Amino acid sequence: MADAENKSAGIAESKSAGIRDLGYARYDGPRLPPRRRYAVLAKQHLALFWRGGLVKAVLIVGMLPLLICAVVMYFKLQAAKALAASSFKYNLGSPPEQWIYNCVYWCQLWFGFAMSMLVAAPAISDDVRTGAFHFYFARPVSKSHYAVGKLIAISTLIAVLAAGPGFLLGVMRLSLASGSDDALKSLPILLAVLMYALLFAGTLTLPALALSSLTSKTGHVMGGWAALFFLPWPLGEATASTADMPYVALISLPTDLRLVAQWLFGVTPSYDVPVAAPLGVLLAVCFGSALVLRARLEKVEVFA
Amino acid sequence: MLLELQGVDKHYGAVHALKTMDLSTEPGSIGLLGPNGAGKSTLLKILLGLVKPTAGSVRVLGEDPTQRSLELRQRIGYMPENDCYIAKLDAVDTCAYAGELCGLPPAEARQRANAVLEYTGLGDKRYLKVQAYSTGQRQRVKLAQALVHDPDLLLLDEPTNGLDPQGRDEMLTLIKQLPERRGCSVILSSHLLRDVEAVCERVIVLAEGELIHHGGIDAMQGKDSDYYQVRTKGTAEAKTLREALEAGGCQALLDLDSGMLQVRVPPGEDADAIFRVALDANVQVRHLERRKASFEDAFLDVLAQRKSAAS
Repeated sequence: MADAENKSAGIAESKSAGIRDLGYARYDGPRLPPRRRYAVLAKQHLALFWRGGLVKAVLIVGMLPLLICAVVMYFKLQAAKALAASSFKYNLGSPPEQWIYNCVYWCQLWFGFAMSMLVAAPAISDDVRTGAFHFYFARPVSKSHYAVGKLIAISTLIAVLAAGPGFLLGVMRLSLASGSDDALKSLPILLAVLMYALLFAGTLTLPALALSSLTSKTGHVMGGWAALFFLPWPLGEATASTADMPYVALISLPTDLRLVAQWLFGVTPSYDVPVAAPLGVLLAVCFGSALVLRARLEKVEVFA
Repeated sequence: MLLELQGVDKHYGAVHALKTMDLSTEPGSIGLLGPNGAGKSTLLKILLGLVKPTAGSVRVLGEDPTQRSLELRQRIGYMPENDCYIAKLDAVDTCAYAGELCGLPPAEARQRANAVLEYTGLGDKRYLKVQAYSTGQRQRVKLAQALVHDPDLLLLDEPTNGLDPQGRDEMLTLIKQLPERRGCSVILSSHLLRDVEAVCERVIVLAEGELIHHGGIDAMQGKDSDYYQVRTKGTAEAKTLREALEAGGCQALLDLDSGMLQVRVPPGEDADAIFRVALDANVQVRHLERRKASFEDAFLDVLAQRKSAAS
């Protein structure tokens, strides 16, 4: 039915559409060197993502935990500062690093995952379906430009979600420091936020992109990615707790991210495992995904 | 020189896709013809620098695609046969993006995208999403995105695919005008001989990885390809004459519905040869007319000659 409508639209269009030459002047100005085409790709994708209503919604809603944490942190730190000189002992509860960790890990995990579903899952499967490989690779765009351009655009969005609130909370913590010693003690939080955001963005981008390169069906990619990300979580945690085998928990990407985040923010770890173990798992997943992506792109034929 | 190929060979494992091809051609409109598996796609990939030849040297627009493929692709526009668009982009954004990927500054790319969409007849529909377009409109977008960056060479793969007759005529008119209006050369790969005949001055014919013809269309439709249409008294006599003509070295085809024979005489012979054979076979010729071979006849003839030479 849709085809028939398209056909009739095509006939109507071809009767009305005609060539209209507005004059032609050859472009002889400077051109961007081919080696920087990944930047064009990344910019275009960021612009395209920004047009998506859901992407905007996730970005905006993703900032709400920041507001809540910021307000709570402000009042707690101000209260602590005001009462420091008095005889009252005001209990801050958990230290500020813990609140930043809670915000960056527990809240942003969900928004980051939602963002990866929205932008990473369809990133290559859409191109497979619409024949966009011809569009890119018959032009001065190499397969590495293509992969790097997509990776930069997607991981930037996810990293902004992870790092933005954490970084702002870290800056706020610095500005509310009770003295220079306290401020110096809080500085590593900013570095921890940045490092975690990089790892978080890589973990949520590369496997989703690799899955996206395997099929033209975006729904399958989304289902597969959600299963891969969430199913091992309860399984690993339950086995680790009941059988007292902490390493089993590492099969879950959220657990690995949590253990690394706990180490970075100086929070007591959930499992007694060295940080190298979850970090190694995350890096291996990222590296393996990059290899899958590369292998799939190598096989792309521009002419069938 | 537009293309210069010397001893170009391409193997894919055991498959010999291109066989020691030597070819040099001047700029202009060139048709690329050949049956499936002839090596057309392999040749296009080599010209774009997407695959390297196993042996031989290639120069396209004076550049070596094996060494400077990205720089070369900046000077080439490619219109693919199948659907090719970026999901969620409208036609202007698609063409502007294509221009930027070929190195144009963003403002210049956008301006040229609008102009090229007007040129391809999509001016008033250029802000619609490409996935909502009809087949004909998508073909126009594909041509526009191939043209937006001012290519010196345009590779068109089945550009009239899926178009209605009027859309097809408009597309061919558009393509025919490109060398003159935009100063670019065109290589048109198509199964539709009428399209090639309408647009191109020269043709490259490939079969089983070999170059079997390269030259002007007029030269391909030369005197040797002309044939005679012969009518006899009845079908039985036509069969007798066909056998006699074939025994005498002519090629003869009998159309049983019309009872007409299509006869191609050996080089250097003319209609007298048919009359002589008819006289010897005691067959009365009632009608004889010389017909100019169509481009399709000439193409099939080139393929048949190659087949007989190979066997």
